[in-house]
Amino acid sequence: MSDHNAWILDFGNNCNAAIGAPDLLHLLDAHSTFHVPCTPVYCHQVVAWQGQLLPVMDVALRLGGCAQSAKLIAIVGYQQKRGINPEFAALLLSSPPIKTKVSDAQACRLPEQALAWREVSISCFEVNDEAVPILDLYRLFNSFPT
Amino acid sequence: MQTSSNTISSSAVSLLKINGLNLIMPQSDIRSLELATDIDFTAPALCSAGWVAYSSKHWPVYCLSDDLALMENVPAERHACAVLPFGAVYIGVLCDDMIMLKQPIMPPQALPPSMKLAETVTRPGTPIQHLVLYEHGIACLSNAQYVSHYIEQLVFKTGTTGKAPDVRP
Repeated sequence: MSDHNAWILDFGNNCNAAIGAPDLLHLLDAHSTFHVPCTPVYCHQVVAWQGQLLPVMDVALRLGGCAQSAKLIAIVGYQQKRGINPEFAALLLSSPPIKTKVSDAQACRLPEQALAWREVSISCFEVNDEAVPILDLYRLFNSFPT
Repeated sequence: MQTSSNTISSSAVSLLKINGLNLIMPQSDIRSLELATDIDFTAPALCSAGWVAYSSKHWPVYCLSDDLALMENVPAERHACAVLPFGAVYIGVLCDDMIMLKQPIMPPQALPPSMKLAETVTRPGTPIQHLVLYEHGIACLSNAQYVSHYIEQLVFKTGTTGKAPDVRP
């Protein structure tokens, strides 16, 4: 049985998900964004990071919830598959991320009512009797809500 | 996000300021820049603000907000009108100011996939193709073809529904 380090991210209104520890690269102030017109309401801002402009996603809104009053931006990195150059993007957060260890024994099913998560999560684990989806960052930033 | 390998030539682009929006277009796409005081604001066509004279004819002029929505009332700060080609015809787009960029700008980056709005029955797609860091903010890159098609779709969808489409889902 193996343990993995992960970050639990707070998207506001009891909307939480996790990413692998290496995927979180940087935390920024949420006010350092720029609006781009004609974009989805859940991803209408960019943030400048290391000379690049990264899309900023409100995951709660993307999944059909309410917009969060974000305090932070998490810069994340992801790959479509191993060997491919990483891509970077940003997630709005309502509070600082919490580091945790996850073991295979904590794996659980996505809650039945969490249909929207199925499109953008790899799997799910249980922490304190709560199911926490693990985000598929590539799918999150390369698909649209159905 | 993909980064274009080409920087934009310093003398090849113009920046239209539309309230808080910086819209960069190829200079060759802007056939003329007219003063807003020369626009005929009487009896405008559907969803347009007035008429601009160019090449011995009059062409419809449109007023956009900084969210690229059509505006019925022209704000006082729209001082200029850029005349853009649209196939064999022309349209005018009101702007606050136009700047011929003299300093090289950073390499443009493609609009991220998660930010691309697809065209639907009620809403046009986005005319923005690239983004670039500009001064203390960003600028959006497009061209006359994309902007003209976008405005045509805004007008068409307004004409069929009787109200201006929401440019965001």
